[in-house]
Amino acid sequence: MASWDMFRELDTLRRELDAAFRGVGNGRLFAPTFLGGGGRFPQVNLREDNDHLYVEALVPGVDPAELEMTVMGKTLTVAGERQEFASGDGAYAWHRNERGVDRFQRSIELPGEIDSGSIAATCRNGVLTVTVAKAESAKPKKIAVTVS
Amino acid sequence: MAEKTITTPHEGSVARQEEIRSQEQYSRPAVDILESEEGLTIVVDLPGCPKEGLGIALENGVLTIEGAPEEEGVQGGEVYREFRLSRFYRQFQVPDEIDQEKTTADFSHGVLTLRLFKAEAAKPRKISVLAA
Repeated sequence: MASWDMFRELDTLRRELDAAFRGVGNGRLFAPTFLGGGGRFPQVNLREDNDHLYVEALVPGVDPAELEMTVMGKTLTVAGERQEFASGDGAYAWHRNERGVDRFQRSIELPGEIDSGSIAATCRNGVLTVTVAKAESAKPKKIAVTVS
Repeated sequence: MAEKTITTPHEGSVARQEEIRSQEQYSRPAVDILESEEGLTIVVDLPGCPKEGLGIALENGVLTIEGAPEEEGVQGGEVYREFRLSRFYRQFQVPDEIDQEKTTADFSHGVLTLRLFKAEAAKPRKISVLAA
């Protein structure tokens, strides 16, 4: 039987509290973690220029071949699963478990109409980048001013 | 405590060095640490870091993991942001029973997997009882 050790209990409690408040305040609001963003994951960034929208999603440890992406109307859905670490040889003990594994699905509504036939996605070092072409109607148009 | 055969990697004594670094520039990567009979496996999420940007050092029983994200030319203006790729830094004190020569590291899809093997002397051994 394991003996009760107050300091070890306190250490465990501290770690649990750290885990509960991870990602809250403390200057780490934008920390790139997989299970961040208040229950919504993967975390995404959205950028745009005149012709394209760029969606970045944080998917470390997910095999890009297993990612499922669909687009319907203006909604882009990313789904997949982060697999549990496969140790191979069976028995092991956990000392830290912070990364988290889960199935995920997230839909984001893109601002403006898009050309669904022209979407490209790349995955590099656990960051997925989806490049979506804007529909002609959503691109900014220059209007020439004629001097009369 | 005395019952434990191997000490858990402990961060307490090296935490001070981390505090000095400004929190805006560095973030603590999430880790999984598993122990088997063979040794320790440390799995670290380092999204956005290329293989060349990683720094792993094992010195005086302190394991340091660093990662720097790729300086890529980001396109377009920011519309909405939930995360920011940052530099990673984290240190662990590893037990002395680790055979430092046999450490292996593997990096794929933004996840670093480090395997530290226990020295032969620290491995658990079964002791059979001989009947008289």
